[in-house]
Amino acid sequence: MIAGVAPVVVLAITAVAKAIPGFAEGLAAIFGTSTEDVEAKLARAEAAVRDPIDVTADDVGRREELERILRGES
Amino acid sequence: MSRHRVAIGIVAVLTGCGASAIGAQADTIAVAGAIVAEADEIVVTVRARDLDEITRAAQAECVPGGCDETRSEHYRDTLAERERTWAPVLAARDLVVEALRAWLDGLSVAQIASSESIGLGLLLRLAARVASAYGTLVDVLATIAPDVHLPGLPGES
Repeated sequence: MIAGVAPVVVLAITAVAKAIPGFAEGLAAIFGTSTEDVEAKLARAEAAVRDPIDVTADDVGRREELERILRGES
Repeated sequence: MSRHRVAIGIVAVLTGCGASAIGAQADTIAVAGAIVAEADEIVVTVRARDLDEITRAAQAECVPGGCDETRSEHYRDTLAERERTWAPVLAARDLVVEALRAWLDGLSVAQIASSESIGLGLLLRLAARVASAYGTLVDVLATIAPDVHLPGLPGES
């Protein structure tokens, strides 16, 4: 864990990273990766929480594609 | 499932009970969130790949001449059945996201709470909920795709 992190008012994962100096660097040490990668991970984490990947739209598209295929269309 | 719960619990307890404890919980949430996001991408990708195999098989048989109604029904039924097979995984995935969102939102409550023990107690319960939901996701996924492994939560070796 990252030591000495003061409590901050946070409502989002990316806000955690931005509000705490050295946070991304600390996470980079945990993940064994670069701070840029950590920022990307945090952005994905935020998206996963706030706006999860919509598989329903993919499923609808796949069924439509199957119907085209069944009609012999490529 | 209990392995995940213990892992997050240990991390949360070891981060201490001083003024930085809630901040340390924020660390844990951020790490868990990044791991859940990775796991989510894995689940969605593996599921899509699995379902896409059915459309590829149909393409090999039905393009360009088209398939008769019997074969068409076969492919429709196969796809629908495969989607139903994945439904428990998606349900477990939703639980993880909901639990993580609640844990994240719990931070603001913890900040407002006049007693840190109340705030930390809340966050620890929410952490356990995330761990439990994630453990369920791992277990359910293992029944469908046993060769797919999701990353461990914070504190797991």
